[in-house]
Amino acid sequence: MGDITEWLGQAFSGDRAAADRVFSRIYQDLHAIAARQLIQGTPMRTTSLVHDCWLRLVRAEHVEMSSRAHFFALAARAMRQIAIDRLRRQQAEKRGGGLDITALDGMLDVAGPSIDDSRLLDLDRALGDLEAIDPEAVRLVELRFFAGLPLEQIAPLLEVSERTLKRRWRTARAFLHRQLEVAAHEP
Amino acid sequence: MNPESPDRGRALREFERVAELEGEAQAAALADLAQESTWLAGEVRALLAADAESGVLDRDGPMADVVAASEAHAALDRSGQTVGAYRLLERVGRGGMGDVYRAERSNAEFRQTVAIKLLRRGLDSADLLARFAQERRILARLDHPGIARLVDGGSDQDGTPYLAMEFVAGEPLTDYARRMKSPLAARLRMVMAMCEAVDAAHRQLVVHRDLKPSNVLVQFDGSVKLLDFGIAKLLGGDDGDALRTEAGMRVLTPAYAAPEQHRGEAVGTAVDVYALGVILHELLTGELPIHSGGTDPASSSRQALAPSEALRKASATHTQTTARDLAGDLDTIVLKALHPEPQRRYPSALALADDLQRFLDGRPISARPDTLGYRVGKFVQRHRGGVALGVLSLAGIVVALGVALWQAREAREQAQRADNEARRAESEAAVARDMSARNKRVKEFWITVFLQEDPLRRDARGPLTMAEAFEDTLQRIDTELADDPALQGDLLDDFGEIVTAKGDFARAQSLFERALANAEKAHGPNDPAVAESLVNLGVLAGYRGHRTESKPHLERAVAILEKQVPQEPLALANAYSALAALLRDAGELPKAAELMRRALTMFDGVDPDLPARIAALHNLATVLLDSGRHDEAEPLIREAIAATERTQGVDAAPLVILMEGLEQVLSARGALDQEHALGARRLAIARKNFAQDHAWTASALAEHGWQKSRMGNWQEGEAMIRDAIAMRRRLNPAGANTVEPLHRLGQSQLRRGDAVAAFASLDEGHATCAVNGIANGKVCLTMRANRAAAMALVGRGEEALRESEQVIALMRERYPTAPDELAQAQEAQARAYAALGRYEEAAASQREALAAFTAIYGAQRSAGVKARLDAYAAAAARTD
Repeated sequence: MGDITEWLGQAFSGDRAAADRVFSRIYQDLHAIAARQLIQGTPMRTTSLVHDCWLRLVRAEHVEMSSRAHFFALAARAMRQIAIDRLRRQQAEKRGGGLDITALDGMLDVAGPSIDDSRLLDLDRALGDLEAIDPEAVRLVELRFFAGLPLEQIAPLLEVSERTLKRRWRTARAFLHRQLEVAAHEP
Repeated sequence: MNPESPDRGRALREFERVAELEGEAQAAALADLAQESTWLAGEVRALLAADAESGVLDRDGPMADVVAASEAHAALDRSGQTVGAYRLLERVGRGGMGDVYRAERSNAEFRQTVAIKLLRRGLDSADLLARFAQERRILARLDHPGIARLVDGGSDQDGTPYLAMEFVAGEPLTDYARRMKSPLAARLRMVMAMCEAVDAAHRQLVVHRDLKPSNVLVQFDGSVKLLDFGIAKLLGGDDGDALRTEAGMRVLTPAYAAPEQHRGEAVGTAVDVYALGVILHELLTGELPIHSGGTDPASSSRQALAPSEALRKASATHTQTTARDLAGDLDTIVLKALHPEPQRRYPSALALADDLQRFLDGRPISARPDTLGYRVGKFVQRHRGGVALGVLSLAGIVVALGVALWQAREAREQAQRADNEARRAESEAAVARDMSARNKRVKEFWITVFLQEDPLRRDARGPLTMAEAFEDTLQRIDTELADDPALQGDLLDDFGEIVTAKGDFARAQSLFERALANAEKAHGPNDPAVAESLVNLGVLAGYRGHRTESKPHLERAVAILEKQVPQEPLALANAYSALAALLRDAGELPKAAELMRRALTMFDGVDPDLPARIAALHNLATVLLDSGRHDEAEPLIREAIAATERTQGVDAAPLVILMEGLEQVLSARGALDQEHALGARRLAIARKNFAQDHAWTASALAEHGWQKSRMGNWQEGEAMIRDAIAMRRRLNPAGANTVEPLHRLGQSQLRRGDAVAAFASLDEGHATCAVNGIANGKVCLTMRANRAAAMALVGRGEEALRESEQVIALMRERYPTAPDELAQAQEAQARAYAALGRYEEAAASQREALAAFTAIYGAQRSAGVKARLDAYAAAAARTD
């Protein structure tokens, strides 16, 4: 599959096709890992999903920090996408409940979501709003909330202090919660 | 508060700062901000409030449950155990009654990976055992590359049954399409592949009954496999169903189940067609169908919204498709598959696949839009005549009224019919009621036009003249229909056409522009209604002489309408016709002729007296005239004139335009007397129809003036031509429409020997041509030839020679069959040579011109040309 450093480098140097390829690959891997873990019942935290995916991709010890940062940014975005896709599928197939579903895939759908459906979609939209104002804040939310990384692991990736991250998180959190509040009052 | 406000970034930065402060320091900072902007301070306060509350982001992320759920099911995992001849490797799927494992059968010779479906222990009731057996029987019947194959089946050591199936590694259809951003055609092909697999099952009398994206996997090579016949049914057998009814279970997936499944009725292959329709909808729009006409999924009146509409409503799209891609055939196909009544869906999955293939091939599909809605929809799209290119119906208002009343009557009849079959077609009636309400509104709007004729109901103004009623109605379109942009736009278009015909181009322009904006707002940018306004704007720009402005409008209209084929043939023909007229003006004769012929064939089989068809005939004739093919043009023009006289009377306004073509034919024949008589009649018709300034009156005036000048009465003739120029300028100071009368004036002046005046007139015309991008049109080139002649006569021989040579080259290239105009250019060249004292060459050019003129007009009428030849020859002899 080629050198991951080169791959990610291309993806982040503005090569759209490369970026799409990398994203698609990470998405697939994460999805597969998450699904397998769910079925096999291996206890694993969300963070481990991403780390596992990373290990599968690199299979080597020496990788530049920038590649690592790039990867985690993409993986966190992929996690957000997986969560949204899963929700959509659940909404499509599970409305009504109590169904007998046996399928080779779609296993992720079986687990109940930890936050309720409309909130997650609203959050996705609110992140879209934030993207227009402060895209870096969106990366931070993806890493922390969707990929489950603690701030102390995010800080070296984004090359900022934990203290700064805390401030930024607080701002992003306030913004998003406010957007959700507004969305909740819309018809 | 504007959410798009650029200050939001600032608000976030201020929040970040203020949030770090506490107590009074924070209050003071907020007060400072309030000094600067109350909005900013309010924004920061709102963020501080949100900051204090807990919310979604404080909880575990949405993927955290993967962990919890996995723990709960870990205990049930049988990976590593052996079932029959297979070793279970890992659990890859889970359901209520059993799990699916990737498993391996290996012995010395081969290794085979299969999917093992295993009933979960403790769930082996008689009912479930029967279902499992049923699934095995069904799978055994099915052998199709699009269906996951049954490999084996049996029971494990405890007697728990299992099925071994082909292992399919793939991704649910909808996920795959979304991830790959599959283009429309690829999505349709995936559905077609599904249709084939489903049809194969149907031919084995197997109904799947639970088709949904997670049961349709796309493998890495892009091939599609159908899985899970767990609740499939064998048609004709009564086993499976009885069992489930007994158990009181209703097994279905709500979003994909057909209404009859929800009702618990006996089901047939039509439920699979329905599910295919849902999946197709989802692939096209990214969303499940939206239903109207009842929220109960079991209701037969529950009608799906057309996918294109669903897409327009969606806040965000998840596919590459646009509403434009879907409107029309794809809408029709999806709605037929999703029809609430099973017998009105596609008769088979293959029939659905066929229609998708037809769509991909660009052929007409077999499905018709739902009958009543189709008919009603069609007459609302109605007479998109457009401004008929020089042939306009002044009876427009009366026609429009007639159409409105007819629509109202038709809708009543439709509604009546629908009522009669209400039970069977409740949904149709709903559509009819909608349409009926709309038509009622149209009717009420129109009848108000005539209320002033009603002595009991009219207001103080008393009876109105037609013109007053027209103005009044136009006003009311503004005020009373503001809430219905589609209807308002339609009427603005219609009124714009009438105003155009009346010659008030500036006003028509604003009406068409508003109609265009309304149509875009109501229907999106690619609707036929938008095309209608664009054609109107394009034709109008042509009338106003703004030809460069005209072209993009017409090209966009053609692009829209070509996608609508074959629903809107006449509208497309009209657009072609208008574009052809434009190309003709620019001298692109072969292209223009090709478009015109294409347009004309579209009128085959319609009423031959249709104004738009007459316009098309005329436009083709003008292209032929420019090509010098007068004999071919004449019968077309005479047919157009006869049809117009028959339908609209012998003094009808369109004749003003049609007769111009006939004048050209007569002129080419040298029949000046007849031409003059026709010109007089034409001018009279123009004056009778148009009290005020009008482009067509100006045209008739200029031509008749030129006829008079050629008859020898140049004083009266040139006065008329000057009137025409003045009228054109009053109508539109900036346009190209002064070109023709300026040319006539220059020709007349040249003819009587006033070279200085002629050069001034022709030079002005020449400049106008260049500005408007029509310098290579026939009139402009001919004018340029005559300008060169005038130039030679005022002593600018070198320049005149270069000009005439260029014109001759251009004429030979573009108008090789127009001998008259070429001869005029050769005469100009002769004059240029003469001005330079090169008499021999002058004589040679003049000789060529004389030959052409004599062939067309005969020796007698070419006497002036001959006299000049003699003079050049004599001069040449002297200088020898």
